[in-house]
Amino acid sequence: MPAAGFILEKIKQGEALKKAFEINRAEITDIIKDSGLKGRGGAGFPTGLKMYLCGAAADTVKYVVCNADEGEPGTFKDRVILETIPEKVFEGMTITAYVIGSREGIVYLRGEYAYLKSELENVLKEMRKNNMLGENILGKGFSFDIRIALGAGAYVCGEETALIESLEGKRGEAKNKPPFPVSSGLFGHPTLVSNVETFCNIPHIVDKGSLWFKNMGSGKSTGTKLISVSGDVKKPGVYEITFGMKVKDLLKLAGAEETKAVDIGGASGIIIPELQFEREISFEDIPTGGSIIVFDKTRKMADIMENFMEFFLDESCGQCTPCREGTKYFVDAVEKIKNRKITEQDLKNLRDISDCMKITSKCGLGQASTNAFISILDNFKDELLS
Amino acid sequence: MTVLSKISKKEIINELDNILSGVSLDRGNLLCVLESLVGKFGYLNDTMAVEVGRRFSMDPNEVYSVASFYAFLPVKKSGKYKIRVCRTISCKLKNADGIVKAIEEEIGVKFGNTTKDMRFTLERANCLGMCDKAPAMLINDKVYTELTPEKAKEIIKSYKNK
Ligand SMILES: Cc1cc2nc3c(=O)[nH]c(=O)nc-3n(C[C@H](O)[C@H](O)[C@H](O)COP(=O)(O)O)c2cc1C
Ligand code: SF4
Ligand code: FES
Repeated sequence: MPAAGFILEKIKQGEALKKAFEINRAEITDIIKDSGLKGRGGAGFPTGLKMYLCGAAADTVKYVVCNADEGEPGTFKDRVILETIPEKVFEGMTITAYVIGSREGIVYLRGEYAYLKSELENVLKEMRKNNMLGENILGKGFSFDIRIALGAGAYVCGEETALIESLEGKRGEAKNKPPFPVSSGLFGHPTLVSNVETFCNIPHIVDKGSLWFKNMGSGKSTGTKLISVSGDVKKPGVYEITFGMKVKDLLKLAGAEETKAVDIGGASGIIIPELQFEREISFEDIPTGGSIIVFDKTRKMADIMENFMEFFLDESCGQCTPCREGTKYFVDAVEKIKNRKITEQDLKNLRDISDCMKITSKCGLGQASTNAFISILDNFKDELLS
Repeated sequence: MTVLSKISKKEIINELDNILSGVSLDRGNLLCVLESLVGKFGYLNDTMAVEVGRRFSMDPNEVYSVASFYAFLPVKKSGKYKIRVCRTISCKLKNADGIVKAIEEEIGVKFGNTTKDMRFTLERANCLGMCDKAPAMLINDKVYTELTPEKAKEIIKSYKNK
């Protein structure tokens, strides 16, 4: 596996932006589309298509929003990006704004990262001074600026419609889609919401071209992915991998030993046993927003279930019944498991309720809240019932 | 910020004037204003909801409704320093429970409570995005990582005279 490593590297600031100004907007959209870049926040929507849709929306006011809410348990790669190369994120946002015709960008920074805010604002100031932001950027007649908005400790605000509600000064409750933010987002205007890491890819692709990008990765998963590794490993931290890397190879990199199970995708993700460590990290096999948590042989699966279900019970915004009541039901079920009181019939009921929550919850929080539980049930049933 | 058991209306109005001198009265700025009030007073009370509502032309109940949604906008009395210990899985694996116990001992109140002198509130938090340096906690905006029970106690001590 060749070391990919470009996301966290410094670039010569403004090069990609200058290049973008020389190309017409439709062409940049095509380059991003052709690169196959997909959203790095978890859902994996094609970024080029999002740019196209938002660019095509007829409105004089449009917004570019960077989703820095990073609340998925086990994920910290956006923090590391914002600590090391925030200017690249801002440049990616600026190129995006140029393409879709936006004058205002907002970074929605989770409240837990408030300590980063003043440093980020310094970087923005510096960019304004260098005419990389503000009026008439680089003398090319395009104006755009970025501000930082602080979240206030709500995981669901990472969901794009909830995030927009929060930016409007409301309770961060998710909304039904459609309409999608690209057509009706912040204050009713077309809004492109993307993840921190997604924006980081854009300057590189504009600079080096889509072919360069497509040559990395596997199948429909092009490029690289930052993975946050934590838990029972010797070397926790952020790893940049090319898509298609096997779970077992990543475990080796991070110094995992005596591994019993691996969580991929955080509390919303799945938990796999050793037998599946041959599987690949990619949109086709196991997708992830970037969280990998490793559990060694001393860990009990019921404890992991409990921790994740309590997380969702805590973070459910409570507007839909299946999610609000379902998460409580699952917390109680874990209690039953721990007390050795769970029956086969209970487990069957839980699967039905999980299916119901998937279909009827309004947003991804409720829909994904039982993933970890069900995958533990699928893969470690004997332990749970013993 | 001072430790306040009672906040006068005058103080609130002065602070609000202060905050609003740099921020326009767009609804989109509501969270930012509430965050600033919490930064100053530690929590939001009825008078603040009324005064903020007056400025933003909103019903105080709606201000309350928005604030009560967010974990970091407390709407009941809360200490000057909010200690938020991460209890999500990666921290749990690295003895987050032991950290909580050490802090409980050090400040003399249990999880979810505020010390009598209104200095500390001990809360649990979900993943703080510091899992590579678990276990982690926040004290107001400041992050502390790679904690041990001893280290946590030392940190808390350093806040006792601040
Ligand atoms: C409950 C929930 C939480 C989410 N949290 C985040 C987050 O913290 N960061 C993020 O980029 N996307 C998050 N998402 C996904 C966003 O809704 C959205 O798809 C994403 O920001 C789009 O950016 P991308 O296309 O670059 O991935 C979350 C989704 C759900 C359902
Ligand atoms: S699924 Fe859960 S978090 Fe999402 S809108 Fe419904 S209640 Fe809120
Ligand atoms: S689990 Fe504690 S910081 Fe992520």
